[in-house]
Amino acid sequence: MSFRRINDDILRGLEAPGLAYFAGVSLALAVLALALYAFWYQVEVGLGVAGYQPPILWAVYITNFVFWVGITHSGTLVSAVLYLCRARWRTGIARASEAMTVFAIMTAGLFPIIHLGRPWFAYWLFPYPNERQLWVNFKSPLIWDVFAISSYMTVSALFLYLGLVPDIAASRDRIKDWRQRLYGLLALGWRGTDRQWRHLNSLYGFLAALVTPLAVSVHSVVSWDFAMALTPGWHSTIFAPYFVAGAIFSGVAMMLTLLILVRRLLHLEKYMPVAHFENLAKLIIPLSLILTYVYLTEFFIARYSGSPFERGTLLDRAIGAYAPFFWMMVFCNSIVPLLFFFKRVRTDLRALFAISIVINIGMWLERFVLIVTSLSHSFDPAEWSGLYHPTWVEAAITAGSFAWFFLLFLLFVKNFPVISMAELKEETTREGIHVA
Amino acid sequence: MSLLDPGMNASLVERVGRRTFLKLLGAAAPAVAASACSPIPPERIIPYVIPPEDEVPGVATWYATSCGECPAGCGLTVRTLEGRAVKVEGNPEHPVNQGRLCIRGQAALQGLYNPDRIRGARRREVMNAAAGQNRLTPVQWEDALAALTDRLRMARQGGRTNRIAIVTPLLTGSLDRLFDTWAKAVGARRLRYEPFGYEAVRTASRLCFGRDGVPHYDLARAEVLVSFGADFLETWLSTVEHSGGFAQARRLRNGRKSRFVHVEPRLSLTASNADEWLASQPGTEILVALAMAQVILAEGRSQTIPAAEVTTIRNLVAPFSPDRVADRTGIPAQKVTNLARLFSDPQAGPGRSLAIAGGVASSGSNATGTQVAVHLLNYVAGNVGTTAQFGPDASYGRVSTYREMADLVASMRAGEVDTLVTYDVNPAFTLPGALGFDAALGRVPFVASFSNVLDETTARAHLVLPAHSPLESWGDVEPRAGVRGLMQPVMEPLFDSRHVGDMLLDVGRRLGGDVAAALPTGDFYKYLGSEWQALHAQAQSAASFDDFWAEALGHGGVWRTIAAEKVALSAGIAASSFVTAELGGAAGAPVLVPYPSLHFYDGRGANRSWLQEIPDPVTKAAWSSWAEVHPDTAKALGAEDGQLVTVESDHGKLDVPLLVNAHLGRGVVAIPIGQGHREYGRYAAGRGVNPIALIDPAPEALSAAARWLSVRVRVTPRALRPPVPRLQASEQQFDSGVAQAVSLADLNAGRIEAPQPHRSLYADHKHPVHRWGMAIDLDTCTGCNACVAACYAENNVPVAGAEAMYRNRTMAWLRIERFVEPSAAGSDTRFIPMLCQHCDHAPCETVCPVYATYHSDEGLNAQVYNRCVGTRYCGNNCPYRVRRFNWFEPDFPDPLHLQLNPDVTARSVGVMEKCTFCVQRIQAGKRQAKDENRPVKDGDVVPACAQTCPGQAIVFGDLNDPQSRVSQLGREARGYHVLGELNTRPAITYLKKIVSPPGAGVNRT
Repeated sequence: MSFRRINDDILRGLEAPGLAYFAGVSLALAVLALALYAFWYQVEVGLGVAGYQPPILWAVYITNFVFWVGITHSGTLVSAVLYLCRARWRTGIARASEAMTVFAIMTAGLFPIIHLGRPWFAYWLFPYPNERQLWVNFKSPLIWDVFAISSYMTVSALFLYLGLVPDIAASRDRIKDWRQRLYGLLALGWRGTDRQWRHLNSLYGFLAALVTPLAVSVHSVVSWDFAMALTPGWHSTIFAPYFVAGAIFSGVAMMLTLLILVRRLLHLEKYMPVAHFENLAKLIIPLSLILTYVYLTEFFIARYSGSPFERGTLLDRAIGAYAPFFWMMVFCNSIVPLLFFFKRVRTDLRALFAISIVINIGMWLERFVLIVTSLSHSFDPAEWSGLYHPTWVEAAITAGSFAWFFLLFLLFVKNFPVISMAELKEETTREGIHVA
Repeated sequence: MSLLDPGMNASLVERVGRRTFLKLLGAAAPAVAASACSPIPPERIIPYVIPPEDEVPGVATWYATSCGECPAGCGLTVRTLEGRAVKVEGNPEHPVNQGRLCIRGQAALQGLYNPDRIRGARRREVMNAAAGQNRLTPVQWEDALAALTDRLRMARQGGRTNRIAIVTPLLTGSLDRLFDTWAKAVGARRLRYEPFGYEAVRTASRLCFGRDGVPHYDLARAEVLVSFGADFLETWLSTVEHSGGFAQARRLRNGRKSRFVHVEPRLSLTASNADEWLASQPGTEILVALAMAQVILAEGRSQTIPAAEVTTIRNLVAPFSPDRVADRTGIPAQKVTNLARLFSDPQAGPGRSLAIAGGVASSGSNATGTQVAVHLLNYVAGNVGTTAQFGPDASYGRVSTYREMADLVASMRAGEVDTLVTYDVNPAFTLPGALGFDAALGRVPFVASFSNVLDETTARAHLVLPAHSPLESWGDVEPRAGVRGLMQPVMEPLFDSRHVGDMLLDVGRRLGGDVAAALPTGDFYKYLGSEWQALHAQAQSAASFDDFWAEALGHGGVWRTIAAEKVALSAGIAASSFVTAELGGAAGAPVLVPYPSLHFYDGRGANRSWLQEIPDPVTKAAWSSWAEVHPDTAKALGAEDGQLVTVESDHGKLDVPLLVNAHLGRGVVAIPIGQGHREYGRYAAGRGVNPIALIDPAPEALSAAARWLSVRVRVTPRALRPPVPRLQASEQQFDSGVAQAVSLADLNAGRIEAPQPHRSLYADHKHPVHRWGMAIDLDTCTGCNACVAACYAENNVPVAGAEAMYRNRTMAWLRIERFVEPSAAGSDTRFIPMLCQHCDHAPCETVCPVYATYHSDEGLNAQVYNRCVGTRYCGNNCPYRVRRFNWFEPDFPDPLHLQLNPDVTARSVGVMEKCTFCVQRIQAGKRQAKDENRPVKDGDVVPACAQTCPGQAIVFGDLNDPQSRVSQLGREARGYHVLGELNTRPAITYLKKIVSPPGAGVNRT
């Protein structure tokens, strides 16, 4: 495997796109356009165009928010954690997953604005200097979200960018079209000197060590949006580990979905052997088991607490109006991933793809069920609510968030090396294959 | 590199010379100025150049007047600001309502400012007679009055009389007399039409005591109250007066509580407030009353009446012992016997109990018989003259009977009526469909209406001359003998309407001749004055008339107590016969019980959006109609909750969604009256069903009353399931402990849990001056929704509308939760007003990211609307769920926006809102005290809800003052905090409801 070969293989992906690519981008743009229209309509007329049904004051948008924050944990795990653990096999998938992280956090960050009643004042959630002695309320978990998400977004973006610099330089040297100027700018004058490599590696390691606890913190903080409230079904200490585990779970599943596609469409089979996907699948098993444990714990705590409110809410979750969603979630998250115990399933890319989608459906449902059942079955029985019915606006915006994410990912895949060439070259050097 | 750097932009500077620059500037400047001009034209606000005397902008002027929403005639004081009425409250000096007001009274402003009011004289123009296309077109008043005069003249040709009919509601006072004078002069037949006319009571009074009249009932003095269907908390007679009297009677006194038993097939709002609800077979309540009388006489418990009368009555009621009537009424004999003994307790003495009958349960073919039975029951218990008084009779004694209306319809059908004039009545809606009023109306060549809303009757009128609404009118109201309330305009007429009295005088004068001669000179105001001159003379007051008049206007009227007259039993009573109600339709089919609605009364309230939006107090449904059946009946019919059913009688049919209600007799279908309008404005038209379409048009034989309880119906399930907005999901409270109660025995024995002491890791808030709080007595709250309407009026709460209700998007800051606990007494219904608790440890305050909600140093949880970004976290974290979010921009269709209270911010889309403890009133109270250089004292600040509650269930005040009423109530043993275990430390203490076990007496320990 020569360096030239690596460059060829990876940078082939950056060549002029085919019809399929344009179709994908067009579809994403179309859905995004619809979502933008829906959002404009919502801002113009009011949040009433969504399906909110008091006491269900948070529903699809917050579900999406938590879901996308969950997806962000993919990159951090593979890229940073596995890097720190010196897991060599991460190379084929690290860059793509880092990119997924950044795009997912960019998607997630939209939803706290989308769900606001007066989104044009969203900047009030930041403690900007003003003459009116106005501060944000630091006691509010939503403000913690602001800091957690913005810090995570910053560090992940830096992490991604930093890792990209040598590869951008390689692209700059290879690609001769309009993008060369862009690469030239982004490469920051990288020349591959020893000094630059040393600085890069130490910074990369530092950022990896920084972004790892940030990943734990960001989803813990997001989970405290719920745990810090006193609503029955939310007010539980298990939420931080629950959400972090769930996030890694759904992030890894999303990685499987995307990378299987990338591998196929960019013909990168050599660099992403099935064994890597099998490793991811093996990673999913304990996470699924943790989630199962958490579900059981929630019910146990509700019962053990003796609080009629906790018991009532949890029981309603299992047998009330939302029971079909709850049990589907259990099926998707706790039962289906058990199939990964079988090597046959773990190594079959089609099965991996299908199961990863099922997992993400399950994870979306989990957030939805968690939010909506607790809100609809709270303390005062007079204010219990029936089934929530989302409207086209929420559906459009949800679809739009996926479109936005995929659009960003598609743009990334076509314009930046989707596997870290520098790391691949390091791998081959280490294995003793000479430069051609 | 800056623009000043010659190297950078030298070329630009070189190319644009000085002259060119100035030219550009000259061209650009006006363009910029023009575009900077806003496309919105500037508003000119011209202050009063010559301000009215005593009128200070921002300072309210209060006018005393009378309410016109129903014939109860409560006194009002209306708050006006800058010439606009913004809030209606009860007149504290008025003997009927004593400062309190019901939900309909609070909604009076929506009648004044109704967007569908007819704004000027209108004439009906026929565009296409064949297709039935016509519309109302504006017409000049001159022409309208002239047109009416011409038609009247035509109808009077050749000296004919009774070709003209004029139908008004029950009017009293000067306007009523003017109508009579006018009708007589013109030769018209006049009817005072009230759909709920109380004819049976009057006939019963005539039969029993030889005098036509509806007595005055004093519920405050009744230690034992038995109601046979009379919904005195909803529509019966004078609801505010009776609610207040009832609340007074129910207060705990020396460990004793009065007892209230309600007998009717349905657990109505009134029945929900009873100690015991006896579910009777429809139309058999008469037997219960007779059985009670039988027991009282058989056991010699009657003390006050002469022996001869005792014998007469005893013979009359002998066949109706409790045992013999038990299987027909469905009520166990022992219960009736116990009740009779309680009713006539010798220890209490005579005249300490009261029986009343009314509502649909007592409006069948035996209505008169039922009322006779109740009169007799009262008579033998010695209540006549004490709790039931003849003398201060209700003005209902003057209402035309239903048969008179039916006769009018027959005349109309026969072509005997040339001109029909209506004023504020809607017989096209309130008369039974089978009577054929619609068709008969088609045979009247000319119909004129003085109403100012396009209801079903006015929609058929050829000429509409809209009269002022009551809040724009002069007049006087005499709801009962001795009470003469005044009505005065509280603002200039909003639209081009006229006073109906002025119109009568005008038309009469145009007719000329003997008609004009018979009428008083001047306008109606002058006439009113002259009538009051007579009153002034009668009163023999030392003051001049002008002073007397000003005094009366300021106080709202003049009142004197009319002594109760002694009555004796009429000889003819021995000939009475008592039967149960006859019901048309197939035997064994469910009985239709159409019941008058608290909100809509007889349908007149359906065009007021607050009355539609505020949920029904029992079913908690809004903006709709429904048919209630017992679960067993539903199963037998093969229908489910929420399913559309066709309800058909021999006289009509309608489609209505089914509501399964366990608190209903079996074999009963209950449908509320008031919806089902075909016209009547945007809020009422095309909504719900009108059950009056189903009833038998034949009047009751003896009293000529309408027979609301007259048919059995066929109920057929259909495939559709139209959504019915229900604003309360569960009537059971499970283990939540939201609405708590204590038994009387436990309370007296001190077996009551003390609230747990609160502990906190955090320092408490300091309240240096005031700490505002509330005490709400669940034992007094009847669930009547008056406070909810008052809150809507005071705080500019927007109406979300029917569509929004499907997603429970009510904006009500205050709601009444209704929980039904299982009880052997058939009723342990608890009503609990739920509003922002202004928690000292508010969960909502911590979670708002932008500090839009914070704790004031007076204990209020304040919401800053212009800081709210709408994350709604506060709403999620409120355990009481009292926070409301503006999903859309609030809409106040013209002229409802005139009702908005300028002291309260009107919120926009995207912000949260909730109860503020009427902070504007708190501020006003503090300002007042400051102006008067004194501390704020208890009673200075009264929020809108507390102000209007007819039972005074809500008390507000300063918790920092240990002597304030709210502090004292807060210290009572019955006090508790809702969801107190969450350590929210609410500022509202609720007092547990007191329940007494079934069959209990009035505890005299």
